[in-house]
Amino acid sequence: MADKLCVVFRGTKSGLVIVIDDTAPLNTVREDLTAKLEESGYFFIGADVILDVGERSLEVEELNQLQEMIQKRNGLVIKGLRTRSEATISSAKLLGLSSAVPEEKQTSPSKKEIHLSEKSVLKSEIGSPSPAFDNLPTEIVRRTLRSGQQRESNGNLVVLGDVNAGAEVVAVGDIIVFGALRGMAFAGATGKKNAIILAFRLSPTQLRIADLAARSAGESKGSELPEYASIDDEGHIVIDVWGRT
Amino acid sequence: MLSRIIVITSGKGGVGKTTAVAHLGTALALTGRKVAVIDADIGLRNLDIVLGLENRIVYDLVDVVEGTCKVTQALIRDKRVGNLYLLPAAQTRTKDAVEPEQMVTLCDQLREMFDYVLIDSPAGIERGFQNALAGADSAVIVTTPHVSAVRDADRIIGLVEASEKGIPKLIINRLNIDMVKKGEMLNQDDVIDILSVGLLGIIPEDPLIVTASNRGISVLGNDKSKASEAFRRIARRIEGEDVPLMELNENHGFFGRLKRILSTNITGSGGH
Repeated sequence: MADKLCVVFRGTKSGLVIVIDDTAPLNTVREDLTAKLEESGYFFIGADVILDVGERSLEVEELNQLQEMIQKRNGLVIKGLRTRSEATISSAKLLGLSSAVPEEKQTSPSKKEIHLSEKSVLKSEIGSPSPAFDNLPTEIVRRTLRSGQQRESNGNLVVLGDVNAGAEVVAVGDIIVFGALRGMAFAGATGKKNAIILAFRLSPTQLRIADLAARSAGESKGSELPEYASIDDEGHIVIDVWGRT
Repeated sequence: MLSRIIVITSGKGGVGKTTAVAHLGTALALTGRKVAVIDADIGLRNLDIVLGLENRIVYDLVDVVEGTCKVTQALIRDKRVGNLYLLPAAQTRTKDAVEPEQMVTLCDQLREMFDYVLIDSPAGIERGFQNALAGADSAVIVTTPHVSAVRDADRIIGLVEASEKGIPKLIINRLNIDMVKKGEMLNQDDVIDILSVGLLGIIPEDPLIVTASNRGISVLGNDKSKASEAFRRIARRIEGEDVPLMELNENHGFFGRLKRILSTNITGSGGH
């Protein structure tokens, strides 16, 4: 991990933007891109990708190669290109890729919810159905997670124990804690807005579901019943008692 | 009975590890055990000050691991206690001067010579802590009833559990019973709820500790010290005795008990 990588992944409201530094040599770009795709694992399943190459001019074969590297990975699909290079725009046209992609609008975060654009969070294309949750594998952790410990899952995550403050759990699907959730939990990490976070005692430092984050509104004297967090119809993270109809 | 080489660690600084090592080492030695206490806080040594032995340091831990001297030359015998020996840290070196494997070798040597070896760990989770942990058979975690200390203790417990030194035991230090009653301080149940480890003992807040540390003496001889009895009980628990926790309410004496009986009988209004 020497200098800055020349490939950066950025999660935004319109999908995954892969930004490629326009001055680095193409070999380095291919290496870094491979490395980033490797380490991202399943995090970008089914994501739409915008490829931002800046000033770099790419021949058709070069662009095609990059496209293939990205698309053979877990169903990523390049929806468009962002570039200022005429040559690249023509190459894109030959490959059937749109290159007139508008810049991101800056949205200011609302008070309680923070829109995470730097983390690997994706919003799936509007209109496409999310896969059913029972298709996801479920990992079970049979112990309390202590401060400084982290668990990630490509599916759902069940903790048979507490998640202490300073510990972090991240899952593509749901997070269920058979104990006290006092740390940070991030469910629906690839953008599944219907993911939930459930705990016997829900008193986290922070909750994140898909692209929203929330912290508890003051000292909640924990309820006797398990509680869960989810995103409601208005697009806010809300907490409900589990089991109440 | 707890194993014989015990590291006392915390994560957080300033919670009372050095004080605990000094007092528990002394308490165990006073019962007749042969005890060595090791200051593993290289570069920031304090155990020598708290024991009142700083003027007698000739060789230190780093000299021993580097082979400059034998361990028997570096150990300082506390003449007031007799069975208590200090292996001081180096002050002019840093924690990089010692490797974990060297600590293991050193502790194995000391195991043959002493009934108990108590290792005073530095704060943190880096090399100093790892050195202190390496030679130990088991760990005791010290925390105060403060949110930040408990958070750090949790981190340390996770690291100790991962190192396969067994499940550590907990000492809650500087518990201020008045603040707990007013709801201004975590109580022992709050702390144990989060840390989920067995409680070795609770030491109440005691201003006499500060004076004693500054003078290099222990509070064990002082009847007015509330912490003194707590340390003695912990030493007995280390020896395997089943000792109940101290009653920490104020006013232990006769008039104190009388006052509590009277106040519970007074219903309703007014006055005190």
